[in-house]
Amino acid sequence: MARAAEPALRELAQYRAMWETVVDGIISIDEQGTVIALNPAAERIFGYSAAEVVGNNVKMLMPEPYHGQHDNYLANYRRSGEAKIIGTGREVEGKRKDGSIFPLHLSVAKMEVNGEVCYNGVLRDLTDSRAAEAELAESQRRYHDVLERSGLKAAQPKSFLLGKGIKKPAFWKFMLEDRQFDERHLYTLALLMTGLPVLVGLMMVGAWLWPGDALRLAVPWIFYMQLKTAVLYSLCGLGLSLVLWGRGAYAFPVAAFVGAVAGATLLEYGLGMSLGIDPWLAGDLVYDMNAYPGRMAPNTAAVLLTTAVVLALLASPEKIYQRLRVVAVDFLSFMVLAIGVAVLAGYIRGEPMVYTWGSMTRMSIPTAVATLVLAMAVMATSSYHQRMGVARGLWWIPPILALLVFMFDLAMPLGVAAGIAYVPLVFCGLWFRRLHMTFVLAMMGTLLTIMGYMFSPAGPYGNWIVLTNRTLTVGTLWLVAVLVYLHQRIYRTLADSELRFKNLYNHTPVMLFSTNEDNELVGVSNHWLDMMGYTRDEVLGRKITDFMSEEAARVARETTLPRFKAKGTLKDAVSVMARSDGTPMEVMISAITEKDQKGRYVRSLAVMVDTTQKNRSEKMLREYANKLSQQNISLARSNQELENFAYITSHDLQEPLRMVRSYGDLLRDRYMKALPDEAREFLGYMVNGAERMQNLIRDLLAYSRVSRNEMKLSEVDFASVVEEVKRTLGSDLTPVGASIKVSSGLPKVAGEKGMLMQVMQNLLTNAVKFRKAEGPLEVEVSARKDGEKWEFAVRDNGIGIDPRHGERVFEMFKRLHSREEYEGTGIGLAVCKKVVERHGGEIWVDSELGRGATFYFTLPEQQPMKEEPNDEGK
Amino acid sequence: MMKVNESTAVVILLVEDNPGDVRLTQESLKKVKIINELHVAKDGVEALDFLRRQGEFADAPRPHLILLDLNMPRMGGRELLEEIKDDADLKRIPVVVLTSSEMEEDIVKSYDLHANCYITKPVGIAGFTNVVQAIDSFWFNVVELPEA
Repeated sequence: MARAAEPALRELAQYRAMWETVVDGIISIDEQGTVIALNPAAERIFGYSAAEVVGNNVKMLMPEPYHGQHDNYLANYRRSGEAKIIGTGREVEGKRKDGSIFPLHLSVAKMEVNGEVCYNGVLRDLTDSRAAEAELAESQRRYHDVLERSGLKAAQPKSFLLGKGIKKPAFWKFMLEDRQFDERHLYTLALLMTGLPVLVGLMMVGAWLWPGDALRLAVPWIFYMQLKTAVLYSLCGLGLSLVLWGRGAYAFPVAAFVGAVAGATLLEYGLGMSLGIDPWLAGDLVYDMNAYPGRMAPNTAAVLLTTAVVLALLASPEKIYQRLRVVAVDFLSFMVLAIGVAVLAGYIRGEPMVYTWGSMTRMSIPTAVATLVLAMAVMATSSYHQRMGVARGLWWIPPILALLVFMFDLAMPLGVAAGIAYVPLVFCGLWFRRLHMTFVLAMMGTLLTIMGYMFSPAGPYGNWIVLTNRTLTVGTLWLVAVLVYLHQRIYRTLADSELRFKNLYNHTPVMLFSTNEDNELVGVSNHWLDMMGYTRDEVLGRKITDFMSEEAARVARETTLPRFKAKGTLKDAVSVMARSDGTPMEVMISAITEKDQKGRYVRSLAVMVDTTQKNRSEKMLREYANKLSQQNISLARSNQELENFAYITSHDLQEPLRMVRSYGDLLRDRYMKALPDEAREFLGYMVNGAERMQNLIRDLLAYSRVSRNEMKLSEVDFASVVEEVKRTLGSDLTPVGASIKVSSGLPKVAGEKGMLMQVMQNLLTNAVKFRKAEGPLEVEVSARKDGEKWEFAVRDNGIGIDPRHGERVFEMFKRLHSREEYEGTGIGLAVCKKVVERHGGEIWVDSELGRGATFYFTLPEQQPMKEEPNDEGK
Repeated sequence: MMKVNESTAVVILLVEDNPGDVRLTQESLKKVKIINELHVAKDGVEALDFLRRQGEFADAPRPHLILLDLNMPRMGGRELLEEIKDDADLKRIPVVVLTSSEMEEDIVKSYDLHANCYITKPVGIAGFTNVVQAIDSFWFNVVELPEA
């Protein structure tokens, strides 16, 4: 398990390192815009700490207008998949914690982790580069001025334009870039398109309401389009405009009204009766020889009903049957188109059936034109509104194709097999982004084929042949549609995944590159370019070794690359890249080869991690550790020197001290009587001082011996230790009447008996020394088990110690009392501490002034502890 | 066999660089009954010259006992001890290490080099005198020494 997880962990670690060390800010957000994480660089750029941002909406980092737009933008993206910056990258503005606004370059990559979508935004503060750009632009302007004034028509070298710093377009320029332009263009176009039927309708209404007969006499044919039709067409256009405008709710009543009128009319035709709506808005003139004056043609009614349904679908809330609705809208809008196209063709070919549908009323030429306009408006609306759009610029090909083929159909005698010419129409489905469009077009072809059959004059050969032909044609159309659909689907999946891969490759904030067999770069990620300071054009086609330091390139050529080719993988190879500005970047490269089916090398995919920072910190860490260990060594040495010093000095001090003491004694012994009183007093001080110094040296020696001497561990019975110490101290204990109680059950411990005796002796001596003036001295020695250790306690009823001095009593030469009060060198407890610590235990005191003191020390039960290195020569 | 008696003077070589100690030793020996003849060498080199009757010590007597301090300039007590105990002619002369060192390693080292005994110089005149007298009475009253 652990081994399987290892590469993933390493990758994670690499990712982690990348996340921590990249200069670019990285912010991860979820689908709602809530910040999931941000890296230290992003914290630096925005001035927030991660904790202040994570969990909040990313909007907090945006100034207006981005702040207000972001929710809509995300919602729109979720709905339609239309993204402004995913996969590309653009310049936007950010807001720092202090409220200042700054330009930044943002590119976003979409990621899916365990089915959860998240977006990684890679951002770079452009404040500095903006200043640099401005400076560069200024110097460029001056350069131009100079050129112009000098009269030199210098051809601007291309590389100058491609130079760093001005490669990014200014923001207003970005607005004119392809995608952005298309977006606005599409909207304007759609609005214009929906305006057209309104305009046509209103013009007709105007014509109808024009006072006098002058207009009617001048252009009588335009009045073939009824007033009612004109009103309904403009209403349809209005409804579409409302949908585009985002006021879909208002389009519903419009759709309902138009649909009701058109539906009723069709019902009238079907039932062969009048529902009494015919005279409504019929206009004052009826040009048709119509059994029902004022009734519109059946095909006109069909167009209106279809449009009304489309309108209702477009206006309905988006979440309902989205997919189905898109298909329905496409089908219906192309049906409208087909009807209009057919009517026009009918007029051109002079086939009344096509524009009357066998009724006494025909769709007039103006109405047919208006129908085409309406169909375009519907398609424009649906393609913008539903954003799953038709192929750009090609949408007009199917209607023209349909018109031509239908005319061809009508022109052919008997309409023999003309329908087969709709096959190209179905193929148009290849251009459309919506997969079902090929079926929409097949349906359109089918409709036109049926109309061709219905409306072409019946031939002498009998209808069954024609019928069979047309049936075969329709079958063929749908077969082709299925084939186109299947092809599209496979191709789309492939294209999509390639696009996704390409996006991920280019925009993932990781340095990626690919090379071919000759080690020439065939692909690099944007992050690679950013980090290396190159543009894509500058690097593609050049050898990867050109971008390495000289030494690294040599190693790569001679060792790494051949081995990689032979082995097929590369793991964590260390190399040094050279940025465009010449600075080195220490990297770690891992790569795999991509091979074709025959196992030939196609290209490599390599990941590069910048380890400069990491290496630097590692190096610092190493140096620090070195320094530390050196310090430790020198500390240990100086400690030891100090101990040796203490030993040797105390030793050498003995010699002169002995002189002072001995001759002091000699003087006193022989000449005491001859000396005056004062000299005797002086002599007394001298001898006393020498004695004290002698004690001091003795204790100091004892202390240094504790750390110098090797410990010979053995099992020590503590009861016997205390007994022996009591015996040693016997003469000191008796006169003060001390009672030393030793609790039974003192344990056996592993230790150095001599040292432990010294501890007991010092503690007991202390107890005797610091006893209270009145009352007998009571000392109690006890022990209790505390886990793996034994805790010993030496309790007395002496003068006690102020707790403030609790710890200091164990320090060397630390005395709490004047020498006149209590004799001593201040070393005894320091020796105790040292001994106990060498045994791996602790020592402390619990006391209050005037209430006696209890000294505690612990000793391990067993003595697993190793003898500490004691390398002074013996 | 030499029987030290009160009529023969005992020759002692004190190898000691500290005049104070020399004087103390002399003072202590004054109180001893045995007539003794104390010679002093300031360091190991001088002591060897004395023992081997070299240079100015051509007429030097052979000492019955050597009192040896360890820490001296030029040649210290340990080196001298080694020289003496390596010298077939001298090694039978008993050497008493009389030093202020209480170091375990000095003690061990001295006995390893065949010192005949090791004594730490006591502090205080009384202690010192006691020790010197003890040496004297032990080596010259108790112990049997070889004839030369």
